Amino acid sequence: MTASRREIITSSSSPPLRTRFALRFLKNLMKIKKSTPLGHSSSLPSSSSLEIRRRTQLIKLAAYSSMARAVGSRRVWSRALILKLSAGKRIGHRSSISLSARSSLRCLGMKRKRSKTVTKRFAAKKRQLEGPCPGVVELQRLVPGGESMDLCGLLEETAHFVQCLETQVRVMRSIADQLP
Amino acid sequence: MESNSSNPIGMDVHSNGQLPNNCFFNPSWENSISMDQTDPFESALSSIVSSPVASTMGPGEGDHGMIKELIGRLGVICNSGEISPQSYFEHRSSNNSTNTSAYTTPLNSPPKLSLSMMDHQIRGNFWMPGTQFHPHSQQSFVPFSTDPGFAERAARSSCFGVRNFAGGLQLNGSQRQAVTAKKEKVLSRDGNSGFGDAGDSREGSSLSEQIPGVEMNNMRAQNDANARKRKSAQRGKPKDSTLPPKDSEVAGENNQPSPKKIKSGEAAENGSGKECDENADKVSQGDKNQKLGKDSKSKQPEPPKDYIHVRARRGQATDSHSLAERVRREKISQRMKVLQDLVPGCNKVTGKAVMLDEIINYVQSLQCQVEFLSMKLATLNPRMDFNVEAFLSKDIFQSRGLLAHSDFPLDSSSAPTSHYGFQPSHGMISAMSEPEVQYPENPLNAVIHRNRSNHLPPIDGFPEASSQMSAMWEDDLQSVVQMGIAQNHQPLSFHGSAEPNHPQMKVKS
Repeated sequence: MTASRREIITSSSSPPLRTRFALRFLKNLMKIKKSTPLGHSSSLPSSSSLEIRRRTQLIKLAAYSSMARAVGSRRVWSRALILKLSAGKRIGHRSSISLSARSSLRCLGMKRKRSKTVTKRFAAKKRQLEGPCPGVVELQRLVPGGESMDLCGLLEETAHFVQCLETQVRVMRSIADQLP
Repeated sequence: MESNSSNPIGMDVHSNGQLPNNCFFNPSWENSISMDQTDPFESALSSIVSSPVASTMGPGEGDHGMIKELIGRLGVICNSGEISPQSYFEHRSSNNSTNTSAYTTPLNSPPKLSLSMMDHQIRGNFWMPGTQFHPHSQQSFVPFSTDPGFAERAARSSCFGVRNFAGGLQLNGSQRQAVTAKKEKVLSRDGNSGFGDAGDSREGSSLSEQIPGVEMNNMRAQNDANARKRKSAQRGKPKDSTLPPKDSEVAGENNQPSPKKIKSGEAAENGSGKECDENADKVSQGDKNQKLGKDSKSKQPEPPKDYIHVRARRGQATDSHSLAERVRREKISQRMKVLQDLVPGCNKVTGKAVMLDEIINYVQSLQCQVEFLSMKLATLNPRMDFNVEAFLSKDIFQSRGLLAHSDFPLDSSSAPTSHYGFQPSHGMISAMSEPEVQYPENPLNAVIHRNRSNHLPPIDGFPEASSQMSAMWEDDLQSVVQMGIAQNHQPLSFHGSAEPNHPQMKVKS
């Protein structure tokens, strides 16, 4: 277990993932802090709640985007996430999801199909006919860019995604614990 | 001639050198094979048929005794010591007469598994140690084995199957491959041999069931692809092959023994397989029925259905596709193993569906944690202007301690405020927050109360990983601290200064 973990961790070249993520996230965080001053946080709970909610969302976005950028284009999920976020920023919040998702899916799906051999396509068709099990569908929803992947690639992406999520949680927790 | 064509394999079957753990009645059998056969076959059959009848009638065991003896004889003749009844007899029966010597050679290598498998049969009142088995075995053995066609077929079928059943346990991969290669040869050459089919099918089933992960993909694919046909063919063919020669004598002899013999032949052939229970049931039914060939024939269509139900592998159309499928499955299993290591608490879980559920739960819990932490960070007062570099250095130093912190206090403290985060305010991140939104309370409860505690502090669950991480933290300590210090006066220009610092980092780290 440790070997596989180490392998996945060290696969990201120096500097390690957490450092890259930490840096990006911190800078994004500072941007957010600067842009949305919480001077009145203690005064009005309602406004502060809204503010806090907004900031929460922004921070969450910042976390995911910084993580995706730290990973780069190496992973399907990071690419999908970057596409989604950039499309969201460009187009608008509401409609961005479908567009970005579609565009990311198209890009990723095309890439995927090109790599498939004849037998894989046959097997994939067979699997499509049978239908994936509900767990696979759920996982595809969870992992960004997972809809266009078969189970094999999906599991690989999930492994990396889980690692990155853990890193994210660790860094964010350390930041949250140390800041105040 | 069949015997000549099958000699290479027959010799392999019977020679101890090629296939280990197979002690056969080599000398007697090989000699017998060379003898002339058609008449001795019938005579052997008649002797077998008559002797058990005579023997069993005496002690009054009746049908059971006959079946026992017939099955035992078939197993014996087939040179497989793995047919445990003999070993069973050997162990349990005190009548280790001289004939046991004839049996002990093949019986010396009985696999324990087949013994256990056969124990079910034995305890099912089907196999009972027959003391009268031994005395008659000798006299029936030689004439029985003199028949080349029957003997060869029997050898091929039950020996191959049974031996591989046992051999599966004891042979290493290369030997198994050799065995299967030979079996494939036999089967490909002699497609009409029901025994061969039975053996191969059994071999396929036994191998696939007992030796998972054996690299004989081709063999297994072939076996799997042909298993169904062979099973059904085997059902018909042994009966076909045995019936015609026996019909003549059936006419002359009692009708009772022949169907029982057929069934016992079935049982003997398939006794080592996993379908032995069905066979035992059928044979026991046959024992009680005491009907003629009708019963055996009526039961012919039934076993194939049961066999197909029992067999797990179906629907593999061609070898290339099945191979690709197998490769894909192995890849998936590898990745599932990696995920199993990543996701805590999945070691005990087996099976794709449960593992997938666990993974999904874990990913959702991680996303919830990100949500919590972002909320916590949002509620924090921003004093980050000059704290960044200090934080970074502190973070690196204290990462170990931080990693040990439990998540529970954090979550419980942020629980009341967590509701904010679960309202999908922005469509941009609705895709991300959907998993949380859909479970507005459940993740909280799960996070705090449920027994996914091992998931919750993911850092706690990875003590070894945390030590690794802390070690790696220290490795980058200098670089990060230098970065932080370099950005001391320009907290806002983090963005700009990050890039030029990267080469520095690389050089120094």
